[in-house]
Amino acid sequence: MDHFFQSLNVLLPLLYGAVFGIYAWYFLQGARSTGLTASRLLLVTIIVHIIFLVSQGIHYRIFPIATVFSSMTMFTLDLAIIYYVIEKKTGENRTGIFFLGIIFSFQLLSSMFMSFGGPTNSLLHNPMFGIHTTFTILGIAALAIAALYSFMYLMLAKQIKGHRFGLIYNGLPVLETLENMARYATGVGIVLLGIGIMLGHLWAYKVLGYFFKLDIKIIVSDIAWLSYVIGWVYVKFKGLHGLRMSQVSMWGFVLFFVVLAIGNIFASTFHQFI
Amino acid sequence: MPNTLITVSFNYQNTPLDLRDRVALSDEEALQLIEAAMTPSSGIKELAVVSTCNRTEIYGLLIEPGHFYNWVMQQFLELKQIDLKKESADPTILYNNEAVEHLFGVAGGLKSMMLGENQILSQVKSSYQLILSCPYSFPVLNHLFQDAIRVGKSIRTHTALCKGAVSISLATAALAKKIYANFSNVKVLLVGAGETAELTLVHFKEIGVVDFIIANRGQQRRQALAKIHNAKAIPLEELDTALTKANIVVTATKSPDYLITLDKLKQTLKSRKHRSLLIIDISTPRNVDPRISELPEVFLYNINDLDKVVAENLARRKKEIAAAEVILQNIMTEFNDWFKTLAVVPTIAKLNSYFDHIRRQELKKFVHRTSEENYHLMDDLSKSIIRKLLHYPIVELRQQNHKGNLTASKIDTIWDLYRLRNFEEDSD
Repeated sequence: MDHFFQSLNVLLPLLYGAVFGIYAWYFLQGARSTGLTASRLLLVTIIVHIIFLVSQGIHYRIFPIATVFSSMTMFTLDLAIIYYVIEKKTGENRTGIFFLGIIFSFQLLSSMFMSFGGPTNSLLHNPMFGIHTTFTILGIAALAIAALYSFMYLMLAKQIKGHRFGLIYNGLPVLETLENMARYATGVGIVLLGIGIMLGHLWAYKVLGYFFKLDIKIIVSDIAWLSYVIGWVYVKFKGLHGLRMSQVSMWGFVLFFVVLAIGNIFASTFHQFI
Repeated sequence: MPNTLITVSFNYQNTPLDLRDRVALSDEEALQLIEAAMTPSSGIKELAVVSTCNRTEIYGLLIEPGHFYNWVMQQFLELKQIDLKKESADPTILYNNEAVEHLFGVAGGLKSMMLGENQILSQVKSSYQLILSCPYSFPVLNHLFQDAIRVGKSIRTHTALCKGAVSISLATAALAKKIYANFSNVKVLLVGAGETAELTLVHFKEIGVVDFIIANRGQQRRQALAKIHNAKAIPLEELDTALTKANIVVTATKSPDYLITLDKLKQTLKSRKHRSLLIIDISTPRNVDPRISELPEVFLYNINDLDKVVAENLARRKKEIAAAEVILQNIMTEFNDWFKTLAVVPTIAKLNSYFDHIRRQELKKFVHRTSEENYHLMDDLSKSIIRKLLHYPIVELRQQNHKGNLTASKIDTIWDLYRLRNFEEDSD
């Protein structure tokens, strides 16, 4: 079975690399058939990725996020799924190059350092933990995608303002579409992350007997989620648009990610599984 | 007998606008012209018409092309009461290869006044639909127009000849398209009610804008324009209020002062909740304070910026001409190869049936004079002799035709030598 996991572990970055290449070609060349090919290959890659993670889960009877690099491949898959859903919902696939570039890099890094069958924490064997983690990572992935859309918005707005009509101007979709995509991804992210956090607290209460623990990831996630909810309500009722909304969305996520990364490096708490 | 393809083209390069307007043919008139061409006395085998605001072109297939323009003149006199001789019309008349290349160039946007124009391809498609709707069979023109459409599509797919706006009003609309996705929710404020403002309004209507506000000093003009385009008319004094609602502002007035200033717009942006605003100032002198471009939510373009965009796009299109020509030449070679076979195929068919007829006639004389078995042997032998006798002449005919050496007079000689015109296939 290890041979099977090793093979898929090598195959996945190759597949994501190929999808990235096709999306890049589509961005530069613009032929519709190329965009469709990229989209179809992405779906195939997502299916292979799901098989890779589910088969590991069944074989080792754990939720496959035992190490930083197995968490990374889970995050990669979630990014790919959320991007694919948004692409299908909006019918806009010219932004694929930006997402697949990141997804490919994450998967390559994960595959390079991935190990199978090591010692695991007993928490990982609990299915409730799997559901909590799935929702949380999906939520963070959606917020990451929203930030990336906001970044694209800012980039394109800068090009239009500066009267520059190059590759980015021609390759990216219209500003309004980017804004809508960011808004949609943020909404999805808030809901998924909210469910994930809530399940985490409930599960902690059930297993450990308390709702809340002074854990850097929990504190950051809770504050970030609350900030997103407040921001969402503010945007909704105050009518914040375009440039301002994109700036808030992008820098908000950057801050969230940096704090989470620092916390993960320096804090050794119960979210550290080995 | 080889047919000749011919086109008579009245276009923006050889015909003044006034005459171009008058010679333009509606679909009904084009059908009448085709009907007239199908009378046996005209000598025309096939006819098609391409008629747009910049060109009216008549494509014909006939054996004797010498009198085609006279026929065209006669038809314009009868159909539209236009005496082309008196008008000193000087259309371009092209034959065979040149006519094919011309139509392919037209469909590809290479012959358009605005290089790489997109609309022309749908107009060529309409002409093709028109000949399909006729109760006549036009195999050559059918093939020609199909290939022309292929050229047009291929150039648009594989080159950038038709990409990028090449007029101020189109550049304005193209910019708006990069900012807004759904134009049914977009409100356009036009400051000024002159010709330029109206032209811009028309382009915005074409891309789906339905909500317009026209702000103008002159009441009569603004209300007249608003009535025509179902817009809201306001005096210039209400400009600030209108600015809070608009998504796109186009200024096109002759006012010597700034109508939109930095301080005023700063105030307006607050009540707009910082929504993006595209301002296009196509007035000279400028009507919008250029410092407004410093505001992050505002995308400001003036006439010079748009001129630059247009010039860059045009230069980019010009660079694509060579690539477009390659596509055109490739499809033209295919068409010409096919067209050439038309000239020689009837001659070869006639020669084959003539020789076979003689063979059968001679063989018939032996039907009762020999056994059935021998008769079959003689039949096979005669077929083989005829095949061998005709092999080299037919190969040579095809080769000469492919090289373009087969003139009408050479084919005539073959038909005269064997009296093929008088030969009836089933005559015994």
